[in-house]
Amino acid sequence: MKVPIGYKFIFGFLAVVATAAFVPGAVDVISMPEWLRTPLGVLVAMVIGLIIGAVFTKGFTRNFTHLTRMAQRISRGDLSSAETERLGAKFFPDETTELEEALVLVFTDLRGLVGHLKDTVKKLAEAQETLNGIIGKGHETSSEVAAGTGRIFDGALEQSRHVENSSVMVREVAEMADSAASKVTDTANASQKVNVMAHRGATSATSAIEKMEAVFRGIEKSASAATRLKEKLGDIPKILDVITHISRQTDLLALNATIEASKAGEHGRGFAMVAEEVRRFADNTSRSVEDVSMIVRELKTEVEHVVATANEGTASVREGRDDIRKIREILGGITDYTSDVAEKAGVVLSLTQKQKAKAEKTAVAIEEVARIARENLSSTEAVDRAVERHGAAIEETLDAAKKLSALSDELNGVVANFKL
Amino acid sequence: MEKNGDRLVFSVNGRHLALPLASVERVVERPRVYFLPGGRPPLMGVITHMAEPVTVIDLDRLFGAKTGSAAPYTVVIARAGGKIVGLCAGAAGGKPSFLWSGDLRGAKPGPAAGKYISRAVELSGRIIEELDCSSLYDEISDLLSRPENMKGPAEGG
Repeated sequence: MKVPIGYKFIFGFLAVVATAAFVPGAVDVISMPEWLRTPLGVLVAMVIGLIIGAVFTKGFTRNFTHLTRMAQRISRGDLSSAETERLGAKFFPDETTELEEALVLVFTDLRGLVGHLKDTVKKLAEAQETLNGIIGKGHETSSEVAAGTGRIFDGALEQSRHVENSSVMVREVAEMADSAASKVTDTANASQKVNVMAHRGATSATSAIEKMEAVFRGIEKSASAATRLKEKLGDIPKILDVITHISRQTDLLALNATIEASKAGEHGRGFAMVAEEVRRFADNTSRSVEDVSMIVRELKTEVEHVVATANEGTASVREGRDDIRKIREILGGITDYTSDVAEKAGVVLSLTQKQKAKAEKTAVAIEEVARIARENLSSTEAVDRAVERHGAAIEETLDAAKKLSALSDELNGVVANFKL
Repeated sequence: MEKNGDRLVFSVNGRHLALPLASVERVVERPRVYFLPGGRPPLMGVITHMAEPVTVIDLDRLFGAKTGSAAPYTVVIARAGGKIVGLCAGAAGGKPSFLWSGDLRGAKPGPAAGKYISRAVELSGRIIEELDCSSLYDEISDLLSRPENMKGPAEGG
């Protein structure tokens, strides 16, 4: 049953008052001198009042002292063994009992809170270390990312340049493909013309070959005729020798006739003139023979040259026939080849046109790639800026982590003051 | 040189040699001239004419040419008195020509005669020298009668 402290004071006051009131009467019961009774009664009353007052006071102060000690322990942070130092059960609990229970609750809650706080501080320290490690790694990663971003930026720049160059080259390739397509078209047309011309050439060559065969036969006949002519020319010098001999004999005869006519004097003068004419005739004959001989020699030389040439021509004819056979085969091969070339030129033309179309598409795609590369460059610049901001944020986080670490240390120091 | 006599003229080694037609018996052509024992240039050898041996002398060699006549040989057979001699001038002389007596009317006396030359005249700027057949025959006789020639061509060197 709860008895408030005020009631207890009133009860104590009443007990003291009662004592003061009733003790002197009780003293009178005792046989003692009169003069002693009053002082003794006052004295007994005062003693009893003091005892009762002391009992009440002690009862009150003991509880407050205990509570004060508990509060002092709490204030010192000594939160150990709260239950063992409780006041114990009271017959008449009062506000101190409730205050003790409240302090015990505070003690218990505070003990739990401090324990939780210590755990939290411990975990916070661990988390702080982890955070420091993470921030360090984040810083390193940020640095690496910054470096990588720089390299990526450089790479993107170089890639952009390469893509631009590739774009230019692809445009050039496209132009070259266009030019090649044009030239291939010309080539295809030329191949067709060459094919037609080759067929015409083959026809003309076949006709020419037949005519050359006729020419070869004529050359062979000419060679045979030249050989016969050479043989006949070989007979001419013999005839000329005979003529020369006759001419010389005639000349000699005329000479002697002239001499004889001279010896005949005036009668032989006419004969001498005739003989002289004969001699001149022989002389002319001799010169003509010499001229003819010279002409025959030249003619023989020419005929020999003709024969030699004809023989060479005949040999060449034999070789020429072989060559003609080869030419026929080659012409056949050429016409087949030109047909094949014309067909392949058509295929090449088709492929070149496809290549041209592909090159144009490639140019467009490369242009798109160049645009994307430019965008990537811009994005890389943005990423670089973001990484810089991220680095700054990491620096700030690092500073905050340091501050947090200091706070954690400080909190740890505070919590360390509590004993559980 | 007789003014009315006709001449047969040779060109030998740049010189014009004449022979009176009266002394020319025949001009013959022979494929070869037979070797005469003891014969040395200018003596060529011997031929036959009308079954008579005729000694032939090479005028080219006689008048200083380095080369002699070549076959067929044209030989002028000349007779002076009872002496007969063959004159061959086939190498450089060309064909003999005639110098008629009428052509000699404008001839002027030439330089002094030399060996084997009886006389010389100048006609139209040409010096025509007349051969002395007797001296030629004597020369042949002299050549053939020399003791070294009697030893034959191999021994004479």
